[in-house]
Amino acid sequence: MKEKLNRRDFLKISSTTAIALSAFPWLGAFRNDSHGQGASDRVRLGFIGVGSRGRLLLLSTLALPQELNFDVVAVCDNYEPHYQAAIQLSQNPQVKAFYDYREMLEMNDLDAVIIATPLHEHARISIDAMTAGKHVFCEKAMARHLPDIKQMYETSIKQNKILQIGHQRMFAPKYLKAIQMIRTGQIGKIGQIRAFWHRNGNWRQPIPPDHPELERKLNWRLYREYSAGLITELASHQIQVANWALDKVPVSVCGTGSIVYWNDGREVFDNIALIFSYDNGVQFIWDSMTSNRKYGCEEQIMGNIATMELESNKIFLEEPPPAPGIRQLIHSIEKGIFETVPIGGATWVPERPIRYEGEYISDKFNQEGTELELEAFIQFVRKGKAPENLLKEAYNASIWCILAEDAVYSGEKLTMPKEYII
Amino acid sequence: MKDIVITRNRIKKEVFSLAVMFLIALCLNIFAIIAYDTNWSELITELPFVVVIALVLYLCYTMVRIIIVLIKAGFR
Repeated sequence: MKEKLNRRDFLKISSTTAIALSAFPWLGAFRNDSHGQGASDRVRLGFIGVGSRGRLLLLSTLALPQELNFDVVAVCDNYEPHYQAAIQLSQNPQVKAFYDYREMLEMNDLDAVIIATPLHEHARISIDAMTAGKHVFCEKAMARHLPDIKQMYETSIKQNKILQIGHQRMFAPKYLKAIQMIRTGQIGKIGQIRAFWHRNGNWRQPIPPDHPELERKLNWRLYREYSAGLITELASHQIQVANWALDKVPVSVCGTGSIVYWNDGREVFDNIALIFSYDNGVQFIWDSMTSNRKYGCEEQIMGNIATMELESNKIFLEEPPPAPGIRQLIHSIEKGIFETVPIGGATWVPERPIRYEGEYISDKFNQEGTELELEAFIQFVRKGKAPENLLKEAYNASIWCILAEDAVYSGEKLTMPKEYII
Repeated sequence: MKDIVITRNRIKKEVFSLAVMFLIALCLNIFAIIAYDTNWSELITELPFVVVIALVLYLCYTMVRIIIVLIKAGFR
């Protein structure tokens, strides 16, 4: 069963609230004293782009406790089925619906917008929204091109408006606990990080048979004009986790990609491998494919004391804790009876993986973070400010996604251009 | 059909045997805790495993007794 968290529990991920707040300042949004109950404190939200992810964000927002004091006052989508669905899902008979986001931004009784449009539209809509005085929550990755990412970042600072990007892992309790364990040296010195995202599916949305012209609009993830495919849609999350775990940004990236299986007219690769290098010599190795799902999605952080598998919420010590005495005794009796005594043989023994169940990183919480990041966003909007490093994490993840794509297509090892260092 | 009668004596003997096996398993656990320098809480946490060992020992003991009875019957 999915466990619900209350604010107090959330802050208990650390032994003391003060430590949690200094390590993860964005958790300050979950303090009980940050509520606003008056009508003037009511946060009025609008949703732009209510397709698959946008719908999830809308439903997750509506599932938040009423005590957060917010309203969904507007929805916007330029695709009719999504537009109609958004009106119904909003659960508000007074909700205003728009086909054009610019009309929505003219609303005076709107504090913030939540954007889940195709990637290539993020920058334009976010910048317009912040310029119109609205706070913005935008799905990852930030934008399709490097200058747009930088411009979004700068607009947020210039307009003094919140720009929160949908990296929900930064709010997921198991990730917060894991990062805290890493910071306190519990996995030792990190030598390598590996992450992968494997799926088996064509990643396509069904197109109405009588409207073939909607192919690029609905399947935008498959076309380079709109998306960098697996890199911006999946790797962006895991690059953010790697940077966060190391508390660094990469110094270079190289990679390769190809279309191995889904030769269906798509332009983005269905099989990619990337290597990001950091200034301390650590490598972050990432790969993704869409024709096999055996290994699923995982981030493996390998230290000299332990390995963490964050999606699985597990930590594996290099020296597993010994089995109970009685089991060791029975095992050695069995070994004495059944094991053959080698007279001569190989002098080399293969280094097999350490096999044991591991321990749970966080034994209390299973939430993946989407509801929590939205709850935090509402609180940030009420305060008019979000912690700076929240946007910096997202900025660096997005920049390195686009650099990774460039590295794959150019075949070169790329570094970050100076003008994008913040 | 002939009724099988299990006497009180037999039941007492079997319960006693089982208790002895449990004691042996418990001693093994204590020995293992000392020998492998593990936690004394295993006296409690490993009780289910100790019970399993006791049952296995009892089963072995019973099989040995059945074999002896069958051999004896063969010589008669």
